Amino acid sequence: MSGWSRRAVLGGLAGGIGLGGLLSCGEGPPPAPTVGVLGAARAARGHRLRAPFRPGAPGQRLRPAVCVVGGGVAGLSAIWRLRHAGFDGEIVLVELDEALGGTSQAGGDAAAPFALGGHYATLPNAENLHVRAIFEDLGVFLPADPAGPPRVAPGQLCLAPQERVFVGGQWWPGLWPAEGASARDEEQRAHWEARVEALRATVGADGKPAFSLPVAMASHDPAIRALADQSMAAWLDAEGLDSPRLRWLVEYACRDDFGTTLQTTSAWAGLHYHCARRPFLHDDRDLGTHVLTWPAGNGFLVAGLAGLAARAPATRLLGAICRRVEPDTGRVWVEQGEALIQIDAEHVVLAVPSPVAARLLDRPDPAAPTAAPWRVAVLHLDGPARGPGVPAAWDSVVYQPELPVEEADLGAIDNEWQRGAYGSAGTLTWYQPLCGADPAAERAALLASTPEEQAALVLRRMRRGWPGLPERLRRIELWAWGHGTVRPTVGLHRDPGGLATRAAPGGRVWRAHTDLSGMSLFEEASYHGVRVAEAILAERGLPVERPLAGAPA
Amino acid sequence: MTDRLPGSRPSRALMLSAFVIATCGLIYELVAGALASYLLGDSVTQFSLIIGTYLSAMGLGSYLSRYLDRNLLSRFVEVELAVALIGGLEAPALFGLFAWSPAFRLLLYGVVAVIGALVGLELPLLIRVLERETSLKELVARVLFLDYIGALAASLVFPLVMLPRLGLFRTSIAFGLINALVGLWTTFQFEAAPSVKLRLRLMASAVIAVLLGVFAAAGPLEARIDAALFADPVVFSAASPYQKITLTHRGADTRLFINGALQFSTHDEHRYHESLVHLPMSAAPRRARVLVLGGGDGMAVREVLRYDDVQQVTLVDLDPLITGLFRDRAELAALNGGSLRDPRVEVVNADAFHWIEERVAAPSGAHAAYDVAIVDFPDPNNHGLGKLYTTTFFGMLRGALGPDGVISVQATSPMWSPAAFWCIRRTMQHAGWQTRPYHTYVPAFGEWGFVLAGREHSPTQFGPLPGGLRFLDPTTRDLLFTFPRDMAEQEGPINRLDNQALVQLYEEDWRAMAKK
Ligand SMILES: Cc1cc2nc3c(=O)[nH]c(=O)nc-3n(C[C@H](O)[C@H](O)[C@H](O)COP(=O)(O)OP(=O)(O)OC[C@H]3O[C@@H](n4cnc5c(N)ncnc54)[C@H](O)[C@@H]3O)c2cc1C
Repeated sequence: MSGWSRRAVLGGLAGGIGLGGLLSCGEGPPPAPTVGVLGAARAARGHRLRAPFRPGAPGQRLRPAVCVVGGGVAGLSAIWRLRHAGFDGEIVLVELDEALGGTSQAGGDAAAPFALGGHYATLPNAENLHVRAIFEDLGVFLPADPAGPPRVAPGQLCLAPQERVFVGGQWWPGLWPAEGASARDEEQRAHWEARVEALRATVGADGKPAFSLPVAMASHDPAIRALADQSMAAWLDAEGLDSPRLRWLVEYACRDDFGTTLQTTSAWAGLHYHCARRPFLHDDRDLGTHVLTWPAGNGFLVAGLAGLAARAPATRLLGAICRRVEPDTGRVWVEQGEALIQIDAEHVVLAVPSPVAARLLDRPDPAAPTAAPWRVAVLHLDGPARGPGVPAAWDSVVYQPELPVEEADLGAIDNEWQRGAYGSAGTLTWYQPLCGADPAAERAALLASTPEEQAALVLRRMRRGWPGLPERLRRIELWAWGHGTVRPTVGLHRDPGGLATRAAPGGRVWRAHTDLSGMSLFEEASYHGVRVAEAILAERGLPVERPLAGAPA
Repeated sequence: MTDRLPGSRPSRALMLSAFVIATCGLIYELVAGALASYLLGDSVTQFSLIIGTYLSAMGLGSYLSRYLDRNLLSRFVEVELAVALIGGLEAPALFGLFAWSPAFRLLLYGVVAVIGALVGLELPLLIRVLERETSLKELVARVLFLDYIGALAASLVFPLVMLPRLGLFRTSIAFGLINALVGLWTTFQFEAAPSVKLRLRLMASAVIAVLLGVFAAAGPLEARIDAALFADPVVFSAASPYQKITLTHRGADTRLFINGALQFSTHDEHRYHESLVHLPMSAAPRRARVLVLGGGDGMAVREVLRYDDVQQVTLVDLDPLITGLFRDRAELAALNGGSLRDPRVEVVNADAFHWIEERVAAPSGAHAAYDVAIVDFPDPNNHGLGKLYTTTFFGMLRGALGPDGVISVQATSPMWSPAAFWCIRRTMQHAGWQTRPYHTYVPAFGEWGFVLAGREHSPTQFGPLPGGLRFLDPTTRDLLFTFPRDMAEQEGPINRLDNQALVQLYEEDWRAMAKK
């Protein structure tokens, strides 16, 4: 009941001597954490794709109505949409990995899952019908009148405090490094926020919002799209925004969503991160965040979609590599172990990245966007790893302006956070997008570095913010995404129609993947899955009562 | 080596010493860890620092043993007696030092390091003494076996037997005595010059005498030292490895502290508890089933039980230590009138958030609804407590009550933390409760605030109050709802799981207060 505690006062007095830290070196070195590598088999199968392929005599033949190649968010959303509409024809899903989810998959087990890639989604805008429908089906949203705003179920929005930033030797609330910021830094931040606010409300000549999620709902107004012709750095320069802290913050967003820098990101994409989200929610008074997250990260959404997709019988071929797709016949060739499988489908959903699709279709796609590689580390702790300043948050980011941007990391998220223990033991996932200008060179360097070198790098980066880590860390596991996130580089979003040609290769094949949006997000990947499913439903003459993928131009 | 072992019987005695040394050594370490946790908080850090210091000092002691070459048995006894004295007096000495010395941490780790070093010296000495008559293989196996088993014994005996029975001071002294007795006994087990033996026995007797003296005085001493921390004489204290409960007494006033923070004073707690309980109870159309959240001291339950129509009370409190003590210890149960032993009362030790969550998630009809709920959580000074004041929590609570349900919520001080107080009220209102804020003057705390609320209707009609009240009467009850201008309602955010606005408001309120 009482606010002031004598113990706190006395404890503070004794604590002021600060000997605790000094003496901790007397403990001797704690046991070194073990180092492991995750996902090696996946990478090896991915490399098989490069070998030349010639169709032979198949050991097995399948004749489904629909074959979905790629079990990431896009592929699973396509199946979800077909089943949601009541389609009960046979579906075969082909996935290279042993697990579903692609870049949104979780690791660990059901009791202690951890994110390896995608780890949050955001509240959908009013125009974002398909995410709302998915969330309502998954129980993320409670049943609500479709004419009004949705209602979010308890425990889905990220628990506060969502973020903290390490600056000036300790943790502070929020992401903005306010500690040590000058009046000029603060002024520029206010200017930036006012610009973002205005752009968020801007509507193009075609009556559509300047920025939207999914990007297919955004305006095609050339005056707005012209932003794609300059870099985010150039846009900030033109606005007179030169505060190093503000630029760090804006670049953090580019690295976080895209794996690109201020120099490489287009201004359209850089602004999109901040201006595209206009949460539409029933009970939004004093809403603290628009982020939705779960202990398994977006692995939660993957598991949910996979569960709902299984409403009607479907065949899942896991650890199966698609080697060739023939658009005219709908024939799909798959290797699973030593077996060769021939699938003749009425419709094929090709839910793989564009470079892979080009290979499978045997059609070069030189305009396909590039992807940034990511280094991910999972840290298994046996107790909370404390640091100075405010206590834990879901996302802990270190302000490290001294590092070259290509080497900077994003800090770590707490996989247990959403269980409401506020900083318990468990796992942290640490992320580092490799944002160098040449992704291929970055990829080669990533794959060449040893696990021990990588573990040492992670621990070095976390030393200041998590001084208690060495005593708490039992195991560190590394994961590499060779093609992690699409890079929305200068020019990519200039021509809204350009992406459409890659989306429809013709014949019986439909393409669905987040890179068709020029950025990697759950909202985009699921959009493309839903879009192709609705196209297939239309082709089969099945009525789609309420199209969820809207009517993008 | 001039001291010699006569036969094989004594070697068995020395083996027993190994066991005792290990047990006592770990006990001293646990005593230091527990003490540091009570005094400094943050038990995980305290225990790990103590263990680290202790183990590394043991290493140092073992290393230093190479410099002892002569009269190993005498040295062994001397070391044993030194451990007995320092380890035995560790708890009273450190406790006293905490109250009087600012360099407490330095002293704490110093004492732990000295004990660790001495214990570290003992085992190598013992092994070398015994080396003469047993093979090294056999010896190392047996000594280390006893050493580790001794540690196990200590880790079981300390929390389960010694701490609850003897308290921290006397646990530490008792093991010092055992150490000293083993030292004394050892002098009868080996051959040495009579003068050497006499010297050692005199030393041992002196140590034993000191320890016995302090043991006898430990009760009053503990009270004296607590008095340096607490303004009034300490009449009772109990501890688990995580919390310390202290009861102080002066004149007619008894006060309860948990980890040094005042929980209530008998002088005026009736004002707090009568206000907390009788407003919802006398406003509720039905009160057969009552839920009490927090309030493990049983004082709120005592007030609830004044109504004859109460059939069942569920008390949900996180800490089994508190509810256990207030049920079973006579001097504490006297304060709540034995309320926790009443057959109508069921005590549940659980996190209230999860307990409610599970209840409302259960299929409807699985649990009978409550008629009244009394919500008495600690102030929202961290996120774990802040979640007990969110729209989510108050929304779930609505689901646990029947349509006529009435509740009251302790809501911090409208005087000292007005932003927090009005935030709690707004949050409840937003979650669907029909609220009526009120406040009471409790001298020990100052002006204190509560929120009365009905699930569907604002509680405006009150029935009669039960007999035996010391503060409330119907006229006073009506006055509690008036807020003078210096406690007037404030605007601000509601508290949600996704903003935890309340924790911040509460912190800002207290920071502003401290400046006044
Ligand atoms: C480190 C990291 C963090 C991220 N964080 C977030 C986040 O927090 N929020 C967010 O919204 N997004 C995040 N993303 C973006 C994420 O990529 C998208 O949200 C989404 O998962 C993309 O789904 P997709 O189905 O379009 O593509 P993919 O995930 O690439 O799925 C393609 C699937 O196809 C399979 N496949 C490929 N080739 C073949 C073949 N030949 N045969 C069979 N199968 C094949 C792959 O194994 C894969 O499962 C993150 C990405 C990374 C890398």
